[in-house]
Amino acid sequence: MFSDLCFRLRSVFRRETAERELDDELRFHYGQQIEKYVASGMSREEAERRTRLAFGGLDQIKEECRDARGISLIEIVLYDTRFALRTLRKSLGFTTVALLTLALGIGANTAIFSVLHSVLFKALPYPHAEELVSVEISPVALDPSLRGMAPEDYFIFREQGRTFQDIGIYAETDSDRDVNVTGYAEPERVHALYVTDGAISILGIPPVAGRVFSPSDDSPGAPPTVLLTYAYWQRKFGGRPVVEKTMVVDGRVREIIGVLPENFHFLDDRDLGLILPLQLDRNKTLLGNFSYFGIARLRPGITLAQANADVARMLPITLSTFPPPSGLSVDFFQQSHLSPSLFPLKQDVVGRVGTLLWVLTGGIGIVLLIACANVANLLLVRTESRHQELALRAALGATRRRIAIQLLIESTVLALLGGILGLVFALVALGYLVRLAPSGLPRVSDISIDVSVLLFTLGIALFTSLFFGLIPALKYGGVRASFSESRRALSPSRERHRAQNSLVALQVALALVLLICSGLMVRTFRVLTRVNPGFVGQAELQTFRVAIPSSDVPDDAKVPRVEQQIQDKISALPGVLSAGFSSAVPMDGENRLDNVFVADHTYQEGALPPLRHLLFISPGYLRTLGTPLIAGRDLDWSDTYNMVPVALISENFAREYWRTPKEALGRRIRISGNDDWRIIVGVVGDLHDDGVDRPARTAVYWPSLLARFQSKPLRASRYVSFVVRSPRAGSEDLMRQIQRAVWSVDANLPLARVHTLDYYYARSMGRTSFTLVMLGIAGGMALLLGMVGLYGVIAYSVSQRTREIGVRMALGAQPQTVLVLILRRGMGIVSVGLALGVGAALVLTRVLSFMLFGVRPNDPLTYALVVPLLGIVALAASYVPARRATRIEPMTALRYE
Amino acid sequence: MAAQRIELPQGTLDLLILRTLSLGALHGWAISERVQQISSDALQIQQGSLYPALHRLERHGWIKARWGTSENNRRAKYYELTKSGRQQLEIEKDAWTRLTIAVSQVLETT
Repeated sequence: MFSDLCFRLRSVFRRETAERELDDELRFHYGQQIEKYVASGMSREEAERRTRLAFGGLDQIKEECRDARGISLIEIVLYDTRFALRTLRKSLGFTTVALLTLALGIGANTAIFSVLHSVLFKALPYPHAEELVSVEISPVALDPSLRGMAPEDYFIFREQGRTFQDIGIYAETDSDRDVNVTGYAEPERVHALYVTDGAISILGIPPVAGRVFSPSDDSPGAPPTVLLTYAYWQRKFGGRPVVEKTMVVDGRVREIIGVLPENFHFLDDRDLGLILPLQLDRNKTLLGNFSYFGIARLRPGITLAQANADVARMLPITLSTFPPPSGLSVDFFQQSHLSPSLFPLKQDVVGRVGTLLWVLTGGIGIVLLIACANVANLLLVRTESRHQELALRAALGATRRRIAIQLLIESTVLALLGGILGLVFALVALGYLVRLAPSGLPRVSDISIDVSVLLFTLGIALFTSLFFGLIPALKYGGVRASFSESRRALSPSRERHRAQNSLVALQVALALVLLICSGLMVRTFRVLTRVNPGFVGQAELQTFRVAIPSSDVPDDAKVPRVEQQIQDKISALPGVLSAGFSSAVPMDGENRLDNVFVADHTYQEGALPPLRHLLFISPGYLRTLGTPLIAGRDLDWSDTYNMVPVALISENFAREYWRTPKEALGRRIRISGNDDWRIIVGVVGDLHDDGVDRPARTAVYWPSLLARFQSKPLRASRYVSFVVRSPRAGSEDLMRQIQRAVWSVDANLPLARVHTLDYYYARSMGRTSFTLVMLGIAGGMALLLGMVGLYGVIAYSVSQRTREIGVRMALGAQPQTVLVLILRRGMGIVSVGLALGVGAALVLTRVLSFMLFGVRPNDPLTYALVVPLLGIVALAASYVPARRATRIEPMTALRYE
Repeated sequence: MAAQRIELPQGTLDLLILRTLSLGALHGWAISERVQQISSDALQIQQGSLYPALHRLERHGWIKARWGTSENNRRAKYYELTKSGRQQLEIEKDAWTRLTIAVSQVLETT
């Protein structure tokens, strides 16, 4: 078997050598024979003559030898490929349509697969990434969705853990962990990360210069150090040597100890500039500060379950080692049922985006199926018109298998060419896709076309060629050597129509499913945009963030003065209607939650009151947003400076305890037992500051300077986001003026996160709009391809029935009758497709329900709109060829004979 | 030329080639010479059928070819029996023996 294969291979790939060898071999025989005759005393001429005679036709022998070697499958493939290329070149129209259809289908799938592959499948770019886990603790009894790591857990896990190689924690990176870098021409706000010393070395990527953190950097009181990312090093220092030099971060001089390489990213944090040591003090650690995240490298061979068990073992040790903060007891922590929650680090990075990507993959996969059905139909029609040629081949002795192979090879050639075109299409599409991707899509910069994507493309190209090639191959592989029944039949056989009709019905059904999906997304989007977010005119609201470092304003009590100065200066700018600031602007992702007690309300034994969203605002902030005051009054500056114990609450908070918002006025609230009670002086409208698809959170608005709050004597808001209402919001011009205004107050203040509120608003709907656009594109492609398919089949059937129609018209059929005749056929197929599609959609759209908002998967309105729409478009697609049928001249039609 | 030529019956050519090669590697010309010689000129293989047969046997993997130097120092293609060729020879020999016995039995029965 193997030698046979080698032999055949050799005869193909060494065709010339084999020919030459055959020639040599026969020539040798020829020479030997002559010499034999000469040796027996014959003259040379006589010997040559006789040998020639005995040999017969040399070419014939050679031909027989070639036959004996056999024609191999490979040769068939090579031959048929050449043949296929030739025939494809000959029918350019067919080839163009088929190739474009395939390129569209394959290209779209390649693009979406490269996203899926890069985001979901590829390992994180760290050595032995499979050992890396995310370590978090969850108070299951309190709220299982709360997660985090606390310093006390970090200390105990690192000292007593049996399953970790090492563990580190890092502080949340997106809130106020930006830092001010000063000492250069302009002050700068840089995205920074605080880590314990293990967190960087665990990832296993060595620095390009200097070193990473060691425990000595991390011990409290150690000289301050800083690590640079490659991007920041290039941007700020132009790649010059910086190790052992110093820089000023948040007013503190730090020694630069190293630079991380270009390919280093901390999880999915792409804008990171600086990494600073956390320097936790073990002796001052109190229980329950879950504002950190853990990352660990498991020992080789350790499973997640073992690691979880190890952490569960250590949690009680933690509780008995560290004291609780004042106002809370160890019992409280025990009752909250702290449980380990370890999962692969990749899951942490990829998050919830997986389902969305799978849905999109499914959608685009449907487009591929439709494209395949289209090409299959084209091939069927074409093979039909090549009936003569195939019959001739069969008559000349081609076997059934041989014809089937030829047809399959043609479709494979077509699919591979389509695949190459599709790859080009995918490259282009990917550029747009990455730009379009919602901000929540992780690992976007990893998205690329690599070997696995190429293999995938090859795979689907071959798969599609099988899909659309097998149908004609099976149908016509067994073509009989019969010439008569080809073209002259009155109307084409029912059987052939059945294949074409089912393909078109399938296309209509699939297109309907996709259109219903996009229809549901459109409905969701409309519902979302109609939700009142609680603010108005977000495009006219300019926001930016400022941090006032203690190096500039050491006295906490002075911070609001600086902030008020900035607010006043900005308010005075031309074209600015009003300005204000807050600890967070709606939908910017900031979260500050705490339990808020209401005075004179009895709580269940040991139970904590619900969490509320806390915001620290300036007078005028809510007015600038356009959030209405429902009862009472706004805060004023004297509340702030005099630290008057007052607060505003949201309407939904008020209604939880009191019947009307007015009744809330004068009531008292506080956070911890050590705090002063605060009087509710106003109730304001609800804000969907978590995104419009989430219910509005209950919120409390405090002045920006507070005394005896959250168990602290004094609390100032050093990190604030300004909101400026101006028709010029979003213009560079306005930002320049604002910048000048800020720097006239403090020239050391960099402005960060400069966006209009509309940016955050659009971003909060990013996932929905991304899905909408993607499903919309898929639906559009499906509709287009499906209608082209329908049109093609009807047009073909009209051309096949030209004679029949001619006869009918000659016998007196009205054009209208003919029109109805053709349309009825089209609509018959379409209604089967629509019925199938509705059935499939009712099942399949359930997958989409996690993306829907305010719309059910079986939303009657969507179905009521999409089904007739598709029906009308289908009617139009069959009307055009039907119309042509009515213009058939009976005489011309009959003359066709 | 003295002995009368016998037409080779269908299927015997392979057997003759395999048998001849079982004695050692030979080139094509030598195979036909050897057959002619051993059969006392009764059997003669035509070049027109020898070479296609050799190529067919090679494809089946029963013989394999290599280039060598002939007695008179010319490049010649030598064929030799493979392991499966040796088995095939036994099979064909068996079949031939059974056929000849059967045929002679039929002829001798009166």
